[in-house]
Amino acid sequence: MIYDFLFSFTAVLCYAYLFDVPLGPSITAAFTGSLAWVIAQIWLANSVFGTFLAAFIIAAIAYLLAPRLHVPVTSIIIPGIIVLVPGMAAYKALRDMIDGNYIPSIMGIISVSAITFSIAGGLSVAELIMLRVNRMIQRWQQSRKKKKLK
Amino acid sequence: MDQWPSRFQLPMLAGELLLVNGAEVFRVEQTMERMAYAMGAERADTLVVLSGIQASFTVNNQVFTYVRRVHSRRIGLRIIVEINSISRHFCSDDITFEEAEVSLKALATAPTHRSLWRKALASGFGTLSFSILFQLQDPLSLFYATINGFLASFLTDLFASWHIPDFLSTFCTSFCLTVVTFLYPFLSDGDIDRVLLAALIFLLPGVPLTTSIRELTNGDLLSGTARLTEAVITLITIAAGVYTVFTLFSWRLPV
Repeated sequence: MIYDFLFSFTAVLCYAYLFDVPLGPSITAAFTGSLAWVIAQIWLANSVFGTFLAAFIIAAIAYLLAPRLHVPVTSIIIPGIIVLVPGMAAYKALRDMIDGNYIPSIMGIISVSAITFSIAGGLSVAELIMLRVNRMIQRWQQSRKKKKLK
Repeated sequence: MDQWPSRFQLPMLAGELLLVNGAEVFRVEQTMERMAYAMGAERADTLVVLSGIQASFTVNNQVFTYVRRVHSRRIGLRIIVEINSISRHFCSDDITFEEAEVSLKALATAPTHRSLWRKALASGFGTLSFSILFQLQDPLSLFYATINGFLASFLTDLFASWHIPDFLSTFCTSFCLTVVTFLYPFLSDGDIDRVLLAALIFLLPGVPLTTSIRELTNGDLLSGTARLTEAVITLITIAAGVYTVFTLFSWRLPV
């Protein structure tokens, strides 16, 4: 588990460098990415739900931290999401297709698209929720300032 | 009053830079409108699609309309972050118009990518980390995976410098990577898949995919669908490159 955390951290950091992300958001992305990888590993039995949860957590943390770091949300989400892409499953589906095992290959393609859509779902649900949460936090901070002034 | 036409080139430049570097459409529209309002426009309307920007700004009942065509896009998240901060400071009057113009023009001419060697090094280490995550244990296989990561970055840059179309260059890169992986000596059959796969992760269209999801959630159906199509075509191209070599080298494949 520690190895998983460590190497997904370095993987995300390297890819953040490739995407030309500044240092601050890329370290945040690396933390969220490795957290997501660990969560996806824990829920390996139900990989669609695990990926959904992991994507949700990446996006939620990104939405919470991006306004405080003064960076666009995308610069945290994009490197973080890299570890969730179902490369292995897609590759296996391709191999099955080459070997002529069309039915396992189509099953693989369906599961790959399910995982991809669950990433999309996690991101969008997090966006819908976190925009409201951020607004609530802002309102709360403003009301606290007003109380202090009084 | 005479300077308005040239002054409105500033939000146009910011929007063009954002779009070229792969920002989402709604971010481009929002940034341009905010900057125009901060400059004193009474009304600002922008229409951004992936291939260009149209905008019209109204001041004193005069309408200024601009069109910018964007031919190619790339990934430059650092530039998006910097334009974001420039526009924020500009809208809150922290910097003047001239300062914003100078820094935007500097960004437009700045080299977008870091040096080839550093990129290749980062890609190699990223691939190494991924192959460890894929439970590759043999040191020789890990070494080959790292080399594949170097190669993936180098080949992409090489084909880009030859001005090959994007999809064709992705095909060639995945083709070359698969051939090279088959040619590695002493690579055990069970590890071929994972050595290749870790390097292919470099080619995956993660950025268009994420951006298209965010655009679709926001309701920008046109550009969201366009980016989704781009991502799907890139995936199919990678698969086609691997498939071609696999059918040529089918004797080398582990059963």
